[in-house]
Amino acid sequence: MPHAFEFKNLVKTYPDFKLGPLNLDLTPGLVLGFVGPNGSGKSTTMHCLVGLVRADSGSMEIFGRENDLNKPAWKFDIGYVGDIHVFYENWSGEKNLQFLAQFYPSWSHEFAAKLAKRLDLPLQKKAKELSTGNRAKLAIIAALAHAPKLLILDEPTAGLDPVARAEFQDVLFELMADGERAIFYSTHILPEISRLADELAFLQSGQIVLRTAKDELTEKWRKITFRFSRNDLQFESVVSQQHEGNDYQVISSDFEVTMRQLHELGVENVQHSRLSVDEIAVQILKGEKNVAALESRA
Amino acid sequence: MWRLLKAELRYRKLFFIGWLFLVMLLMLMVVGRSDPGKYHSLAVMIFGVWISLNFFWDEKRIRLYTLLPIPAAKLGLARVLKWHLVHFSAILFFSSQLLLKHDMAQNLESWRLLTLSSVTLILFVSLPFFYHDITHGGIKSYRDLTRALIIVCEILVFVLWFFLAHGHVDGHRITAWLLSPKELPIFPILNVLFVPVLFHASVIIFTRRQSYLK
Repeated sequence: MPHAFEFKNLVKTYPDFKLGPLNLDLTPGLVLGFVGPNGSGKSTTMHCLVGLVRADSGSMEIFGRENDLNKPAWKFDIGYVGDIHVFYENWSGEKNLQFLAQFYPSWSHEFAAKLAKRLDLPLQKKAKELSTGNRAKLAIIAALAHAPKLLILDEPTAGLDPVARAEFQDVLFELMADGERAIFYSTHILPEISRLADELAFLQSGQIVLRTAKDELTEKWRKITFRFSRNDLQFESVVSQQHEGNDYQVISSDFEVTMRQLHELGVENVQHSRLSVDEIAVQILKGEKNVAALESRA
Repeated sequence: MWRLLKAELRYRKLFFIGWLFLVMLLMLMVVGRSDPGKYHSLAVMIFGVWISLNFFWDEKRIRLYTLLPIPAAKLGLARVLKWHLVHFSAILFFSSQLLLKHDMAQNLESWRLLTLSSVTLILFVSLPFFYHDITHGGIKSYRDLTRALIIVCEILVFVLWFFLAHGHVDGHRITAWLLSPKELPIFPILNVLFVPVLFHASVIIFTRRQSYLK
């Protein structure tokens, strides 16, 4: 079965920024959270994937088909919610959806109407009269109504109220139930992605610094506290280390390795606790240690 | 492509109908006149202003269209064609008026002058497309040079058109010679040659854009 998408050596260069070379893929049935600070290249990656920006080099495939702009059959398989929502501003939401529907044989007017109701979107209003949140809702409906196999979501809930955000998450869960779709979800609102994602890829300055299963991440990363008389310790798998006198607090990317080392050193009264995805992401993206090295270990 | 064109015409119907009405009115006024140049000038100027006002506004929707399952070449063609539909309709309307209601021989100069203006309009519309496609995410190293060249070309196109449409040599209008029934119908021929070449060039440059974000 082909990947939902696959990049090989994707490179895009701007005068002040270079993305890649990126190698990334996604298996159908999974949700990949794409996490990174502002300006790390998340949107550029997605723009390249959907054909809004031409990559300098590398290949991109969607369900085994190259994302060639002159052979756009691959676009039937994708639904994209971007960072900017463009519509016919003087047309109502409904008329905008009708316009889009004519290009997709699989478009479901019924699904679109139901989703608009769930998200509390007034479809009769002109696009230009919609609030930022309602524009996002319209973009979400436009991306989902043709039942795409791959959803590419670039900060899709930006501007949504908490109720609509939760509703949208529920819709995504429902869509994933058949196990055939995939979602590539970019965000910096981590609690959102920590509920939905199966895997996480962390992007920093145009490079993927870590790609791992979410469960593995939350299982391995721990905060460890202990007392020890030496202050020249170097621990394996530790990404952050603080000590005040003999009191140590470290964050380990593989707590079993760190615990083993502490045990060998004869350290006692060791306590460890789990970290949230949010806390782990902060540690990874802060780059307190050379996180690139983590990729090989994870 | 036709669905896209249809949507665009529906969305901007007031502008298109308004423009078409105005152009046709101007052209009807040209029929039978010995010096139709000023009406053509007015039509070309209005078209120029109309394009300038709407071009960049409408370009925003390229981002929306690029996401649709339409080949980029068809998208590029629909984009150029949209601007010329009104213009071609006007020529068709004018030609039919000449054929049906007026003496073709008497109005041949008007018709040929119209085709001269048509070449100007095609150039005038195509150049901003080239400019936009090359400078927005296009070939970076030639951006400034392209901008300068295109501005110069736009000015030259208008100066040349104005000179041909209104100029006098030895007290005779240039159009009287250039558009004489005895001479080769240069401008209709140019029209026929220009349309496919410029459309093709527009499409090629559009499909090679580096970015469709703006």
